[in-house]
Amino acid sequence: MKTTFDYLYDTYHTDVYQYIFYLVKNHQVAEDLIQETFIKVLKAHKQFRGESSEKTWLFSIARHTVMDHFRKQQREKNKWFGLFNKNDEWQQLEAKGPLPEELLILTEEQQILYHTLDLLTLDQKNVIILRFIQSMSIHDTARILEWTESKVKTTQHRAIKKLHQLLTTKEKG
Amino acid sequence: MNTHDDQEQKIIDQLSDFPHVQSKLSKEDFYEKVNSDMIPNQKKSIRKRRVAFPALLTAIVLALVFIVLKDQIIPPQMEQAVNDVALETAENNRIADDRGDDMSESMMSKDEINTFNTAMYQTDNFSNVKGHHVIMPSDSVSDLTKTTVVAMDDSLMYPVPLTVIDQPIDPITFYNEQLSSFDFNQLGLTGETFDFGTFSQANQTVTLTMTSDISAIDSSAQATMFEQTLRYMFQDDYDSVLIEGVSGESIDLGPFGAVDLFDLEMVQKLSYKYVRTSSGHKFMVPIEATLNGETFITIDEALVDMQEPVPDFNIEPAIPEGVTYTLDLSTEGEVKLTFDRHDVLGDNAETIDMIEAILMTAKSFDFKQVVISMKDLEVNQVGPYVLDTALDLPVAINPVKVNQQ
Repeated sequence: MKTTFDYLYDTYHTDVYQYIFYLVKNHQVAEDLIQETFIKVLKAHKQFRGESSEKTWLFSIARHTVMDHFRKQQREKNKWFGLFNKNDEWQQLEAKGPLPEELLILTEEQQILYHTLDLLTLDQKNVIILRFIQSMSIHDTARILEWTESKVKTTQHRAIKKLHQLLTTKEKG
Repeated sequence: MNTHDDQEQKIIDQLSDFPHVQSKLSKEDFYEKVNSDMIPNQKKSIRKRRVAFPALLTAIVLALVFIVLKDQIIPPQMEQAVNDVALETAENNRIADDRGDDMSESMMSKDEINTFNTAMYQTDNFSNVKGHHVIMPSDSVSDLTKTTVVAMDDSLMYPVPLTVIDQPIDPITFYNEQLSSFDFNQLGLTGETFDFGTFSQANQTVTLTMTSDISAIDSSAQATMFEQTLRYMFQDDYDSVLIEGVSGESIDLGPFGAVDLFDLEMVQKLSYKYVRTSSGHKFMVPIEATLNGETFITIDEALVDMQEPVPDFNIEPAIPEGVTYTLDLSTEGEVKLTFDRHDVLGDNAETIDMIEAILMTAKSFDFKQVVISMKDLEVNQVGPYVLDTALDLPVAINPVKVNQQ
């Protein structure tokens, strides 16, 4: 197992960790989720048939792991409070908290943008992170999200428009 | 490039400049953590949580909360849809009464259903279908003509795809020539959409020509029914349906506006459950979202939903309440479910129905096969489904045969 682990860790750990982190915005949660992702990947690696690229396969498992995490959180929350918070956005649960030290170098404008990402839908956030922070191609983003490429393009377009609109509103406000 | 585009490009540039973020854990420590959790055969376990409440007190409190917070619990759009449904259902009932249809609203006995089956429609006990609610690739019927028609349940909340089998004519001809006389009411369903127009097919395109005297689709319930019907009927073979009036003009479809091309959004990631209709029939129903509007991202979510009844709309769970299982997705393309021992599980109708709904749910998530195991079960087969073996996925659901008069 160690050899497979070494290979997967050296090849993908940094990128996948960063993807998870920007989704959940919390180091501790990101550590737990990347651990869960690697366990799933190591268990299934022998069965990986190469129908997608290894990279998109691994990111796809990471995405599902993060989704499950958000869902579990939402379920826990709904158990007692859901009925009273119909307008809550489930994807915004991790949003609050101090800025991680790596991000303190961001300009004030970028910090506002970082926080504004939380006002996007989870689909939009996924596309923005994969396309612009992870520099993935539209093709790879589509494979990871299990969408068509045209859906990636449309979602990307809407996400950027929404960010622009939100940032403009904040500036005026 | 205008200022607006510049601003958007600036956002993209700023995003691209976000710093790299790294784990604080060393590679060795990470390996230790992962390794310690890699216990052989450790699988994700989903168990229904049991929470004990003093039942009566809880019921009273929940009823009071519901009354007080009704407006907050039901989103306005859903409330509107429910109102639409209620109005339409009332209208449908009135029309049915006017026509002198004296069919009882109460559930029918099995004998009465069999009488209907004999008279017009057969929904079970086919010689060429081994399962209850699905057609498997191994069924001899799978090579014959299968025509998908879509009805809605009585509440107009859920589409019910039916597969008309053993028809001697192609689907488009069936839609135009025979569907208008299909009596969905006998199955406890509604299917008035088919009065809207005539289908034609040419160059891999299907066209719906709507008759000039059609009344507009003027409620959200009607719009939903129209959309669902087209999706389930044509999505396997077409990306869109051309829609035109008798002179080729675009048509006003109420909530959809003036439409000449109707895109068929792919039906996927579903939770399959069952609806018990007013005629006493039981049909498999694909469900795209919970009542709260949450869609299913992973199959875990759909499986959890499959255990939830929706009593207000006669939706029955596919996985019986109290049944627990372990889900293993470690083999690519395969869903493996191991059920814990439970009295309800065995070689019986309820377990067959459960397996069939799981097969369809797995299919909707693009899995290729399903392995079902049941702990402490003495038989190795449930109906036609062999346990502990990779099962193929169905080719269609809800087979119906139109008996020739």
